[in-house]
Amino acid sequence: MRQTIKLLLLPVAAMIAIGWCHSANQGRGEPPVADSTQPVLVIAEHRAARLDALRELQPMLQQRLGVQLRIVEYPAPPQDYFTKLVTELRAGNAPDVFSIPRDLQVDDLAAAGYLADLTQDLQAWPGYASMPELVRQLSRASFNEKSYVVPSIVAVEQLYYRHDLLTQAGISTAQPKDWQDLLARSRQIKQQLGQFPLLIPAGLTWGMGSYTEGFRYLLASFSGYQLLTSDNRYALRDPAVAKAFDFYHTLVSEQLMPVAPLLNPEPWVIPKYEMFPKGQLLITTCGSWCKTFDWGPGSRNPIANVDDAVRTWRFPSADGAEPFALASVVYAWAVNAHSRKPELARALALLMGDNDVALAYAKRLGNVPARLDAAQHPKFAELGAMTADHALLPQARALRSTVGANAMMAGVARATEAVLIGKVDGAGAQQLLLQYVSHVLGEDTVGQRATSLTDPAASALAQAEGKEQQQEAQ
Amino acid sequence: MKPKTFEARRQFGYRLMMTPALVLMAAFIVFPALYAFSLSLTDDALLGFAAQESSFVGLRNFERLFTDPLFWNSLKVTLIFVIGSAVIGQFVLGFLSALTLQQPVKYKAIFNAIICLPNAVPEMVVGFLWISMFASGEYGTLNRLVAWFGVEPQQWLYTFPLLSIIIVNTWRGIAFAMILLTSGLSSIPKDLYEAARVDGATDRQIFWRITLPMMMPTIFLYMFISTVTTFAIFGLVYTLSRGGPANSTEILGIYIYNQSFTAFQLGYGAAVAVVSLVVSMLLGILYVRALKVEV
Repeated sequence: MRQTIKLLLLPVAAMIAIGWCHSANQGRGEPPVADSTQPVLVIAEHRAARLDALRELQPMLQQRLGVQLRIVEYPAPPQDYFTKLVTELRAGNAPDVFSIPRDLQVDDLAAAGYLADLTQDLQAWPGYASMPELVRQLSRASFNEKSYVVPSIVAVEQLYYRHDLLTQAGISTAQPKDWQDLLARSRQIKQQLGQFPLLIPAGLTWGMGSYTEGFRYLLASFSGYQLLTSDNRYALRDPAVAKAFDFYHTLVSEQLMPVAPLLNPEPWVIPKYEMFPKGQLLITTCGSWCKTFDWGPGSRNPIANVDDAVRTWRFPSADGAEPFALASVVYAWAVNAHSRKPELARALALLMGDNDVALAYAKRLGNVPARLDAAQHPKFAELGAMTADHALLPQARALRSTVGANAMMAGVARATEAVLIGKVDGAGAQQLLLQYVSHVLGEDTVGQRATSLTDPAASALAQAEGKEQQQEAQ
Repeated sequence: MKPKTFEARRQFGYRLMMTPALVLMAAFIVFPALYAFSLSLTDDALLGFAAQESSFVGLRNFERLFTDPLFWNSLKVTLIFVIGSAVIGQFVLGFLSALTLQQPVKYKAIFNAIICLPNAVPEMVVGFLWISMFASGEYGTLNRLVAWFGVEPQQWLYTFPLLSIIIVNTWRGIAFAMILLTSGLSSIPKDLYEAARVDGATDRQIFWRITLPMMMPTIFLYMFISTVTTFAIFGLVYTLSRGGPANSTEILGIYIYNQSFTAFQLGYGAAVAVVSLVVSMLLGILYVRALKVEV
C-alpha cells in the first residue's frame, strides 16, 4: 500500500518541482522594466531576427512613449504566425500592436474589423508623405481606401542569378528584355551547363509563397494587368492568368525548372539553399534578404563573395514593357481595433514607422525602409548593397488585392501544383483557380471579364461594366 | 419520508461518481460538437466581412461539401490511411509482436522497449524525424540506405506519399496494438491450451480455434479505438506532407484545417468536421454492435 502511495505521489512531486523551476526562471532574459507605474502595451513579434531588432529598440521605444512594452513571442513561420494572430484577434485577446506579414492580408483583417483605422493618424504623420505612392496605396484597404497599417519596411523582389557561373560559361548576363528572352537564356543554360536554369516558386507546400514569390511576378509581367477589376473583384478570368500559368507549364514541360523538390514538405530548402549555392540552379526569384539569409556569409549555405557572384535582373515583362522590380509592404504595423489603450497603441505603431526603427529591422532582415527619406539617414549606408534596392522603390510594381486574398493564394498554390505534376496546362490551371476561388469565396468575388491591357477592348468593356454595376448597386 | 433502499443509495453513488466525467464530456465534447454543427449552418469566417457579421446559410455548406471533389478525395484518402495503417499495418504487426513476445524470447525487455518507444515520441517530433528519413536528395537517411543497393536517390514523399504516411503511422502505432493485444492474450485461460494439446491439436489449430476466437472482443476493441483515433490524426501528416503532393495525403483532419485556418472559412470547415464526426460515429457504432455480438 505504502509503495502504491509513494508511486502516486511521485508525479505530484515532479509537477511541483517543474512548477517551481518554471516560476524561478520566469522573467529571466527580459530587459528590466523601467517603471512599474507606466502603462503596459503588448506587442507581438516573431522570428529571431525580428525579435532581436525589437529587443534592441525596446528601451528607446519605452522611453519615447513613456510605456512599458511587453513583447509576446509568436511562432516563426509566417503562416503559423498569421493563423495564431487571427485566432487571437477573433477571440479578443490579441496584442495591442502587431505586424502583418504581407500587404495583401490587410484587406481581410480590416474587413473582419480587427484593425483600427489609422487614416487620420497617417495623414497627420510626416513620415507618410515621404513614402512612395505605391507603398501608401498598399497600406490602404481596397474596399474603402482607408489606411490600416503603418508601413515600415519593404521587400524588393527580383530575379537573382549566378553571375559568376554564367560569365564563366560565356552566357550573356544582360538584363532579359521579355519572357521570350528569359526562356531563350534558360534553354541556353540548360543546354550548355546541363543544370536547371530557373526557379519560380509553385505548389501546395510552398503555400502563399507560390503566389507572393512566384505567380505574382508572372501576373505583374503584363503591364496593364491588375489583380482587381474596377469593381474590386479578382480578375482571374483575364487571359494574363492563363498565360502566367502557361509560363509555368513551359518551364515544367521543358524541364527548365526543378519540379521534384517543390513537392517536398519544405520545398524551398533544396532549390534555394542547396541547388542555387552549388550552381545546380542558376536563376531564381528572390528578395533583398536573400543575399543575407539564404546565401550570405552567415547563412548555412554561403556563396563565396556573394555580392559579386549573385546579381539581379529586374523581372522581364510579358509584353515588351520595361522590366520591373516587385515591391511588397512586409510586416507593416497595425493596431488592434479593440486595444484597451488605443491612443498609445497608435503612437507606438507610428513610431514603428520611424526611420530609426525601419533601418534597425531592415538591416537585420535584409529589407529596405519604406520611406524614401531614409536615404538621408546616417545609418542608411549600413544597408550596403541593399541601398540599390531602395532606389528601385519609386519605379517598383505591385498588385493590389482585396478580401479573400488567402483563399486566392491557396487557389494559386493548388493550380500551380497541378501544373507541376503535369495534370493541366495554363488554361486548365486557370479553370482550377477559378473553381477554387469561386467555391471558397463565392462566384461574385471573381470578375466576369478580362481587365488586362493585353486585350484593350476587353479591358474597356470590363471597366464600363464595372461602372454600370456600381451604379446599379447605388 | 420513505427511507432509501440500499440499491437506490448504491445507484445514487454510481451516478455521483460518473458526474465529473459527464460534466467534462458535456463541456468538452458534446457542447463543441453542437457548436460546430450550429457553425456549419453559417458562413462564419475568421477573415473578411463574414468574420464581423456571419449569416445563416442553411445547408449550403453541406451542399458545397458534397459537390467538392477535394472533400471526396480527402474522405477516400482518410479511409485508405485508416485501413492501411490502423486496421492492417498496426494490427497485423502489433498482433505478431504480441504473439512473439508471449514466447520465451531472449532480450524480451529490449524488444518491448524498441516497439514501445515510437509511441512515447510526440506526433510532431515523429513527423520531423521521418521527414529526415524520407528527405529527397543524397542526404536523406532512406536514400543513403538504398544507395548501398545501388538504388538512385528517391523522392519518397512525392513518389509514394500515401504509402509513406501509412508506414510512419503504422510504425508509431504498433506499440498500442501490441500492449492491448498482449493483455487480451494473457486473459485466455492456459487450461484451454493444455487441453487442446492433450487432444493433439496443432499450433495452427490452436491459433484458429482458440486464440483468435477468444481474442475477438479485444481485437474489436482495438479496431474501434484505433480506427477512431486514426480518423482524427492531424499533426503527423501535416508535418510530413501538409496534404500534398496534389492532395494525395490530404486526410480529413488536414482538409478541415486548410478550410478553417488557411482559407479561414470557419462555417465550411465546421461542416466538414460535422461530417467527419458522423462518419467516425458510424464506424464506432458498427464496432460497438460487433462487440456486443461477440461478447
